[in-house]
Amino acid sequence: MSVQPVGAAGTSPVAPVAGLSPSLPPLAPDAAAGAEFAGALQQAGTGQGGLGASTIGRLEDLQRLQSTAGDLAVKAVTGQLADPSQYTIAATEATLATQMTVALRNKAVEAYSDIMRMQL
Amino acid sequence: MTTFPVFGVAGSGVAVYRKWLDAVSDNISNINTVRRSDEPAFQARYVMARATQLEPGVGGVTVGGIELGSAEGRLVHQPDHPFADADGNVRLPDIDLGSQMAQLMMAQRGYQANLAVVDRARDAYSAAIQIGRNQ
Repeated sequence: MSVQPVGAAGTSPVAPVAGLSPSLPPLAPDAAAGAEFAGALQQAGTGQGGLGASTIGRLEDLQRLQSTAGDLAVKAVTGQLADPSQYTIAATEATLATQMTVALRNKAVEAYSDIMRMQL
Repeated sequence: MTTFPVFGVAGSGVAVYRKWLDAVSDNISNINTVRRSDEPAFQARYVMARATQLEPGVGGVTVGGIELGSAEGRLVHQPDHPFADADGNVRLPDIDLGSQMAQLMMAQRGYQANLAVVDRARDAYSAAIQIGRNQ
C-alpha cells in the first residue's frame, strides 16, 4: 500500500474575508509543521523504512507464525506432538498477530481515508 | 525478533515441566521394578532445568540434562521371588513415593502456572490491540 505524498506547496493561505472578523489577523499556515508532515508522508510513500516496509515485514512475520501454527496443528492431529500446549500456544500467538495486523491495516486505511476526505 | 516474546518463554517453561512430569511418571511406574541382586537397580530420573535465552534479550528455560539416581537401590529380602539370589535378596529402586508425589505436585503446578502466563499475556495483548478500535 502506498500513500501519495501531499505537497506542502499546493496549499495557499486562505485570504481573510473582509468585514467578517476584522479584529483577527489572518491564519498563517505553520510552515515547519507542514513540511515535517509532508516529509513523513513521503517516507511512508516511498517505503524506505516507513509504513509500507513495516507493513510488509509485519505480513511476513504473520505468515511465518501462521505456517508454524498450521504445521503444529497437522502434527497434533497425527499424534506426533508430545505436548498439545505447543500447538495451542502457537495458535494463540498467530491469532494475536493476525488481530494486530488487521488493527494496523484498519488504522492505515482510516488515515488514508481521512486524508482523502480533507477539504482543500 | 518476535512480536510476542512471552509465548516463547512460557512455552519453554511448559515444555520443561511436562518433561518433569514424564520423569516423575517414569519413576513412579518403576517404583516396584524388581531386579536381581547382581544387577543395577532402576535409576530414578531427575530433570535438570537450565536458564537459557531463546533469542538475545529474551529469556526462557530448557532441560539441561537428566540426572540418574542411585543404581545401588535397596536390597530387599524376598526369598519366594523368582529373581531372589541364594540369600533370598532382590534389588529394588531407591525411590521414595512421597518425594515423587511432592515432585508431581510441583511439576503440575508449574505447568499450570506457565499456561496461566500464556492466558494472561493473551488477555493483555488483546486489550492493547483493542485500543482505539471503532465502535
